[in-house]
Amino acid sequence: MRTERLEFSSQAYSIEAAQKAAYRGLDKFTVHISTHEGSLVCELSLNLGVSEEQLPLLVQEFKKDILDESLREKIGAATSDVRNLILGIAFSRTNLSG
Amino acid sequence: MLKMGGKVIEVKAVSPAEKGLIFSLTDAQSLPLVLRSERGFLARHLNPPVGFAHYFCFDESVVHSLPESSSYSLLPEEFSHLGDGDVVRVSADLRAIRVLFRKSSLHNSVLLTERCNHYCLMCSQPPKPHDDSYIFDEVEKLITLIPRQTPELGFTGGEPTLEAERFLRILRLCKSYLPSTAIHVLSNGRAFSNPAFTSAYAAIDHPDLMVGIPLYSDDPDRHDYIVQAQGAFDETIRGILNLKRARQKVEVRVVLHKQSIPRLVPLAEYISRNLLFVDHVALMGLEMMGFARANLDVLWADPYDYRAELSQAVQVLSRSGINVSIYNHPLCLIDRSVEFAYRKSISDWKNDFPHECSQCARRSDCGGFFSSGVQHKYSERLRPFS
Amino acid sequence: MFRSADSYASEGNVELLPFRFNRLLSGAYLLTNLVGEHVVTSREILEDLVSGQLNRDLPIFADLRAKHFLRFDGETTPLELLALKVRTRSARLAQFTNLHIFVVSLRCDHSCPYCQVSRQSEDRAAFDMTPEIADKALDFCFQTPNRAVKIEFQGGEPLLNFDLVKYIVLRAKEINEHEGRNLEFVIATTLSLLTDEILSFCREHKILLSSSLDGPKDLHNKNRPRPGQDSYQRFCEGLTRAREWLGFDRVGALMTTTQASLPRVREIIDEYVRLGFDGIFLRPLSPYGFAIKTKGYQSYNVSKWLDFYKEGLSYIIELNRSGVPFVEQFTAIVCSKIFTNTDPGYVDLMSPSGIGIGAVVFNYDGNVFASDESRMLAEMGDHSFRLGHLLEHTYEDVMLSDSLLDALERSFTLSAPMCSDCAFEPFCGADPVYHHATQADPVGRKPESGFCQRNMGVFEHIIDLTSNDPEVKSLFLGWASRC
Repeated sequence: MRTERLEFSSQAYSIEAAQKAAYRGLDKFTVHISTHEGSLVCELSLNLGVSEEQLPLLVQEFKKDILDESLREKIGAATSDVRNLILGIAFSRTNLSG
Repeated sequence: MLKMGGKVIEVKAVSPAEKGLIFSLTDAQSLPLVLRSERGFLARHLNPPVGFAHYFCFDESVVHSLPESSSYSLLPEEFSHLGDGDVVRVSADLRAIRVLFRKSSLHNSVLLTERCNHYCLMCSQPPKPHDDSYIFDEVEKLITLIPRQTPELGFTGGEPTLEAERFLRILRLCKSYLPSTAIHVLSNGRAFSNPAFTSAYAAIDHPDLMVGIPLYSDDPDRHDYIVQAQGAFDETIRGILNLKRARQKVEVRVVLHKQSIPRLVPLAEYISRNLLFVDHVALMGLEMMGFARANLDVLWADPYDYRAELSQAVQVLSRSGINVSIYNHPLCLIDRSVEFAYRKSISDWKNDFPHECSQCARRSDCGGFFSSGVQHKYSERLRPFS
Repeated sequence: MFRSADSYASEGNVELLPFRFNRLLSGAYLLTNLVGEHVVTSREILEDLVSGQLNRDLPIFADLRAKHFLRFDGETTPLELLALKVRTRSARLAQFTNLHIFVVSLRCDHSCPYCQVSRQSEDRAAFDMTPEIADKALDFCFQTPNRAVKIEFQGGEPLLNFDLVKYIVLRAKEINEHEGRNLEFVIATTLSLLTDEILSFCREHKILLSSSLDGPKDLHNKNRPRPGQDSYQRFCEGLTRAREWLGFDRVGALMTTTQASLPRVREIIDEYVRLGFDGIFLRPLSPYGFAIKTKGYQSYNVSKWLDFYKEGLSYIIELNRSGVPFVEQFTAIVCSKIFTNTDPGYVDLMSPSGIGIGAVVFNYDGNVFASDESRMLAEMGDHSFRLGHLLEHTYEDVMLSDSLLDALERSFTLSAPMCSDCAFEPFCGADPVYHHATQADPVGRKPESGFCQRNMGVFEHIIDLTSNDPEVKSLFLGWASRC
């Protein structure tokens, strides 16, 4: 069973981002996540029944997903306060509908 | 085009008033004497009945046949459209008259002020900054003279809500004197961003009152540019929201021109997502008067060229269940698929047709053109129906 | 005298408002705001947006501002508008349960392989609902706060216990005299056993009929066997009679999609058009009763079904273009979630899930289930979504039961992995029963979920079509407005 080993800078990517990216791909592969000397290490293993030919594409998608998850973290951090504010307004007012 | 104001040939007033004289007109020969002392008589024949406050004549000979001490105005032929129930004002300097109300018109609109806090690029009634609150005094009197059966009445400006208390008083008077008349106010809506003002407005509890509020883009900066006022969009939206919280009727009006067309469909989507509760949306053709003429180069867009955007905007709005109407456009320049929203809307006194339309088979279905448009600028793509 | 457009450009810091994004198959990015308003754009624009570098002169900047993805520092109107929209979208929740399904008998004249519940039997005592149970069910029914109460009769074949149907209708109307609800009745029936008496009663009480049409004769009969192999013929005859008695539009039809349907979508649609229906609901393949635990089987089915759906939709768009108004209902429902703030109330695409909140099922034997699928699971031996029994439990016992609340809470998409980050979440729903049946867990692992894959396929397809073709968008908006 082929395992692809990827290393990411711990500065640039969080474990959570890696976990979420791994979760997205679990239909096709599993990822073992660990840290090693300041790097985030992800070892991708194809699920049983998934052909080796798919591996390059799946690795590519995993890399894109980890980037996307990092972006999501930024958006979440920037907007969680205002989100609570909006929901507060939404469910505290009465008689909003005209 | 009907003449609604202008110089008279001659006026003699027995008791002139400081601010002008307002008369409700009649041509009823046998009106009871007690009812004549305040009214103006339309004197079209020799020897009109006695006892009227003022006589409106079109012919010198009729003037000569009047009793010795009568007040009268001799009017040019262009005013011969005047009829029973109309209300006119003779100017204080006794040189001109203005028609304030036409009974036979479906679109009576009363100006409350020429002052405004906007300076729209296409304003057909360019603002004037001086204090004209005397107009409110006149309108208060006018309301008492308008026939009770009048189906609808409009109030415009300038910005009618600038004098908040006087404005509210006008509406209360309408409720008292004209209880079955639908009232339509044109306003930029910003005063309603003040909840106290909106409360007072709602407290009038008028049976049929709607405010028409312009919104020219979903982009606040573009809207502010078109109305030439920073922060206008934000306050206008807040005003609309407050009005709806107070369960008041709101119409959104969009004037279509080169500055508003590019984002017309996004605006329709914005309205359908954020202002779904509005009672009506009016998409309106450009009136070629006032500032519109000065700014023609940044405003003019041929309706033929924007018919796709217009159709799409109408579809977006009507599919969301919003009542939408197209006003002030020639019928031939509208896609058939949105004719259901088309209205014959130009006030009769401003309405005209250019020569291209002389043979058109659907002239009677068409809203026509603003006389100002026929005069200054209209579409080069008119296609008469055969 | 007049200032330039540039002088009105807003100044100051731009702040992000809550939004989510998905990478689409095409490589483009879909962004959705808190209430499901969307833009499709490039990764570059997305990154600029997040890093605060987005060029303010670009039209997309104005789009994002108007759609409340960003605001200028200090602006509060966007927050008010978003709050208003959130409230509108959630409004239906408070109305609570509308649909109440009464399974009046399990007996049926058909033996459709995909039906898990019906019985070929004359034994009324074993498989019919009793008046005592019906009374309890009606009491339960009127406990919902919803002003609109829909009572739907199912089975088996409800017409085989028509006396009870009559009893329930009359009793419900009696109770409603002082309840004053907006009461609606539907009978789900094969139309094969209609009599004048039945039709007369339905007409008198304005009962709607909902039937099954799986496609052209051979497909329909293969899917829906009955003695005499004449289900299709009886359906057509029943349809004509019912329409005459009740009104053309008072009889609807739903299809059940099976493996045999998948290559034949155009024929199936043609059959609906031929019989005068104004739309069709291209329903997903049901996971129940098949080899539901085999993942491979699942994803094969999903991709085949998506082909089926896309081809069917494309054909329907063609029909509309050639002047035949015809709606695809699933698309209509999804479009109402994408393009409006109004909840269409479709039980299978709700979050919190539509179980209990959207619908409740009273089984013939008095058991109360959270949904029709919950009842089917029970027939296969799994009682996880049985909420209680009419003779033993109160309304509160049932609606506040752990099995219901647990499933609602755990499957809630805003807190589920992947769902909570998904840009499609405002259009989607929670289906704890499906995930329990296929993955033994109400939440499920979404990457392995046929429900998720199918929905994402549909959403992406609709967004793709509507972003690129204004005519199709307008058509779909019209469908959405009818929901």
